[in-house]
Amino acid sequence: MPYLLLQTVLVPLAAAMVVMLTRSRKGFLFGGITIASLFYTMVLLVIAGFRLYTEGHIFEQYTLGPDVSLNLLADGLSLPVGLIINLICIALACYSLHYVEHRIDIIYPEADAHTRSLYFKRFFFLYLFFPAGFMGVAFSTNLIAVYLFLELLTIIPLYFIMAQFGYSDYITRYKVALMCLFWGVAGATLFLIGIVLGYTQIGSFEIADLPKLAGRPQTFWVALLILTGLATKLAIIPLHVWMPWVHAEHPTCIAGLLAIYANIAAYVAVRVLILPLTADMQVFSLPLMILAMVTMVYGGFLTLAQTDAKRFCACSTISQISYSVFGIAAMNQVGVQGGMFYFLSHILGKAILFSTAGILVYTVETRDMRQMGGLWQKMPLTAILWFAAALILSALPPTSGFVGKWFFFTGAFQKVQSNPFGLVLVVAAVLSTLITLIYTFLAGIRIFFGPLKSNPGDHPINDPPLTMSIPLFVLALIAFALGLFPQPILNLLGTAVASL
Amino acid sequence: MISTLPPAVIFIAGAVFVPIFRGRGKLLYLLALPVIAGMDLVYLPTGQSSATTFLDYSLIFCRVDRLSLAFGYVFVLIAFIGTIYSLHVKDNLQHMAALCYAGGALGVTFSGDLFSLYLFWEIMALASVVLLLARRTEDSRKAAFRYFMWHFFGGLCLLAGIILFVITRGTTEFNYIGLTDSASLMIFIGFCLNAAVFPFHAWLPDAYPRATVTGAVFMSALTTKSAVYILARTFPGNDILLWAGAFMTCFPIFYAVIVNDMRRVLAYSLINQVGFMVCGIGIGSQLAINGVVAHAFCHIIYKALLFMSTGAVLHMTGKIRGTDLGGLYKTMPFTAVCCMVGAASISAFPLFSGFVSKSLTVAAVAESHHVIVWFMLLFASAGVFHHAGIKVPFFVFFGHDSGIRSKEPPINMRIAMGMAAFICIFLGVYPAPLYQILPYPVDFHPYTAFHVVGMLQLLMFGALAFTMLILSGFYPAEQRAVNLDTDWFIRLPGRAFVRFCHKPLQAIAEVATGWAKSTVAAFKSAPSRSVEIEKRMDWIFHTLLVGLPERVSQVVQPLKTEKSELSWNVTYILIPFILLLLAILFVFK
Amino acid sequence: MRPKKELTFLDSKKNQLRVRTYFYVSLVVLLIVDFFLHKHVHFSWENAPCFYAVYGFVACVSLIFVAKLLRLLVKRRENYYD
Repeated sequence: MPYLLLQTVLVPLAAAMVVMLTRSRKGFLFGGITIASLFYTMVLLVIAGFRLYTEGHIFEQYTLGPDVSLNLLADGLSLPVGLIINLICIALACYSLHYVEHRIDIIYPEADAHTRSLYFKRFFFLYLFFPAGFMGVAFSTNLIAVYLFLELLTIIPLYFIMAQFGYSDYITRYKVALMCLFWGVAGATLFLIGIVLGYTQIGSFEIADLPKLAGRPQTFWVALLILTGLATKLAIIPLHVWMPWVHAEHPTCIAGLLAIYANIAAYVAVRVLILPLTADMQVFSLPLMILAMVTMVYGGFLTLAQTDAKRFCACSTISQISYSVFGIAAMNQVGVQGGMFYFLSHILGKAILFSTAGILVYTVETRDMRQMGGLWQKMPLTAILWFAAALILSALPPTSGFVGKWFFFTGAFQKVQSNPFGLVLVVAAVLSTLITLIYTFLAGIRIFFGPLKSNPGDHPINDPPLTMSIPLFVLALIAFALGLFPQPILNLLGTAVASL
Repeated sequence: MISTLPPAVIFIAGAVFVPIFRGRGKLLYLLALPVIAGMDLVYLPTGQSSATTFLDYSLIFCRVDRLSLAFGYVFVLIAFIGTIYSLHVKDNLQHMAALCYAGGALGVTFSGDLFSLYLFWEIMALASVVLLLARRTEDSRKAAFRYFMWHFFGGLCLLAGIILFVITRGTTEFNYIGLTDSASLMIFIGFCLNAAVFPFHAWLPDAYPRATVTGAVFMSALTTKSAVYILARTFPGNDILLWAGAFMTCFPIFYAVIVNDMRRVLAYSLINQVGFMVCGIGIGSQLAINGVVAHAFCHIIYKALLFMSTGAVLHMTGKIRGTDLGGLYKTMPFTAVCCMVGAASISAFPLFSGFVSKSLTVAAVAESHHVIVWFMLLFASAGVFHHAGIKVPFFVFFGHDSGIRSKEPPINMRIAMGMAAFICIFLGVYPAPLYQILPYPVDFHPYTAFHVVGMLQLLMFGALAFTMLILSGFYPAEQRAVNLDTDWFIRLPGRAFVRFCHKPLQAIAEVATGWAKSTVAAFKSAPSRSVEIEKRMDWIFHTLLVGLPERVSQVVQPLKTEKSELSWNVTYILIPFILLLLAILFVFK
Repeated sequence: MRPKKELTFLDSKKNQLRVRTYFYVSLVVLLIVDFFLHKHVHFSWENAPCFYAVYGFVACVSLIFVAKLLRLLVKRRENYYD
């Protein structure tokens, strides 16, 4: 099928146009259009996956003018990323159907049916830019294109918070929105400066040409700038301070997507820095590993101290992203494979966790976890989802997290085994795993077991509607399936990083 | 990577989830675990599997051949019986410890390399210490401490030996080791301690009588027999073991005669029986190893049966000393019968399991023409009947009436005892299934007229001696006393040493406790401290940095002219930016 | 649990005597049978008549003697180690 990858980028955009132009009273229709378009792109990606297995990588070139062309590449690295992200987008779109309704009830209770459908329309219009942006970042081969898609991804969430759907009162929303903008733009600008610097050296913005930078003295600065820009997105200490705010104040249906937005910078790092410029990046390997390790442990402790359900998930994201970074920073085959696999596992688990937290906040009408208790009797499905997410994030077998963690720690050990530093590594690794285990399970036990606490709101407590829970179950199943049968994805990733 | 599931994992991982279950569910879960492990065992592929590499060394978790499988079967079986026996226990910790203990023993049995062996060895030690502590009396706490010290020492020897071994031979895989250098000597000592070889045996009669009623069943089966297995694999044919084993069969029976606590009698008799096995390992021929395995299999069952029946008495009456008991057959006939079945088995009475297994070892000794050893073993066989076959049932259930009228133990204990008794009789009458799982082909027929009559003569005339001595009043009466053993060398000097070192030791202990407390406090405070750190960083970026333009403009403010502020501020910001851009473009050209 | 009836089998002197009689009879039977056995022995002395009987008896008696001696050596009061 021609234009396979292009469609994955354009179809969501087209669907966004369709949503904008459709008039309807029913907000769910817009959701339906979104989901349908994303299903279509998923089918495309699966087809691309099959083609990848048989033919090797898929490369599409669209010339838009002299010297300007949009190239899209699907290989072992980008396709799993694109596929899993697409799946999560579908799941979250289903989840959003009811969730947006609820948000509108809360924020704009006096709205009439027409206005409500308007809000639905705006939501799904904005929503569809996310998958487009993600696909663009995943499949682009041109650095400027990557930059543009990343910027796109920064601005859209900003609109989400500032404009319509965020939490908190107007003043805090405004500040958080500005924070999101500032940090996103700061990171992207550093990235831009870095690639412009690279352009001055090799005269091209194509990723495929990047290896030409190898060995030059300026490459260090190029790499440093790009890395720092990505590090702001990846929430590595000390550039992580935006994450607890932004993630917590977002409407929860988007929160899963924001986790992807932060984490996809890891993919960009692999694609742009580690694969083309392996030798030059070695100098960053150990410092990055150390930073990632510190972030892992620090993020874990921070999460332990949280009482707000959404900030809890947000701080957890800080810790979990640095697991992927840790693996990638090892810069050997197993480590990068593991880091990328863990990235996929993390976004699955985090989407479930955030969404479950959203369900809890929505039902119990408080964000304070201390006021939740004994909810197992009323919301058993939600409890199962939370603990499934806990399993995935704590990287216990047989989830995908375990496979990812096994691989990236193996890679990290291979990197440092000649070093006494290895012992510190082991200790930090075990510690961070334990902390994750503790905070997810402890929070889950506190929320779902124990005596039933009276809820402040007058909302009856029961399980969310199926359109909210089934997509999350599907995500959990996928994570478990990947844990039991990781070979296909691992093989794909392996072919991509074989050069390391 | 991990293709087959080591049965040890089923027990150890299963132990973690015990507290989740309650009531009937917990009982079912506890019983299901050995069953699942048994099924896993049946489907294990022979040879090495479940291997993984760790830092250039291979870890092999499933080394399956006839030797390890035989022990694997009996360990799972006794785990099942022991679990049934302990179903009434409400203390989750005991269940978890027993499961980990069984898992550790299985892990030791199937390990193919020294690292995993050491791991499971230590798991066994820890779990058995927990089982000792679970009794929660002052006495057992002290015994647990001594037990821990003994096994810690053994574990250190083993570890030192393993490290030396790996350094000198460059591999962690092991099969036959043999006493060749200091590494193998250290490993040998480590193994011998767990097998209660003299002089490293004193922990056994010290600790086993002080374990819980149900814990003793597990302890009697697992530590010593897994050590027997590992010795059979690594040091067969060593003459030291031949003599050590022969000595081990003889000296405990003297102690067993004069000891009062019935479970201590059984503990000494355990050393005696393990002595047979160690002796068989020392011979190392196929018949001898067959004998060792058969004997271990049967011994686990009938020793557990004996511990179970005496444990049942302890459970129902609260007493276990011969001086306090007697005449219990009147109200606990089932327990009495089970005890007698166990006693008959351990004495190697024909028609019981001991007869078909112990004789393999004795025959192997005879075949290798070690005359003195043979006499010693024969002496020990008569002696076993004496202290375990006669003394234990007699002084507990018969003998003088102590007036205690206790009821039969709970149904689960009776079922467990019944199962064990059934197996003892079944294998005694029909040993073929047992012979089939032995490592080497068996060409031994225990039921020859000569053998049966000979054994019966040995036993019955020993009984005659007992009868005559009792009737003549010459038999040593049960007395309340403590008997010295080799642990005297450790306990008394140990105490004196401790008193000598009390002050500095106490100081060290206080420092260590202080460290532990501060570490725990550090971890507890870590979340809140990280919140503060977060707030700080937040402040730096979002208040300080954001406030910088303000401060800059305040500084710049006086410099403005009549032109509007905005354009001047923008200019002031633009200038450095352009300079930066120029710097980048030109300096890095 | 329902109270069980006590077994009083061995309480009566008659029963005790019966048990002992059966025991002695079996001993004599064993001795007699010994002469009719086909012995395949490992050692030459096993051929001696009633070898095992004698050895068992002697072993047990000597065992008790030595045990009594041992008790004299190693016995201490119960709270010796405390």
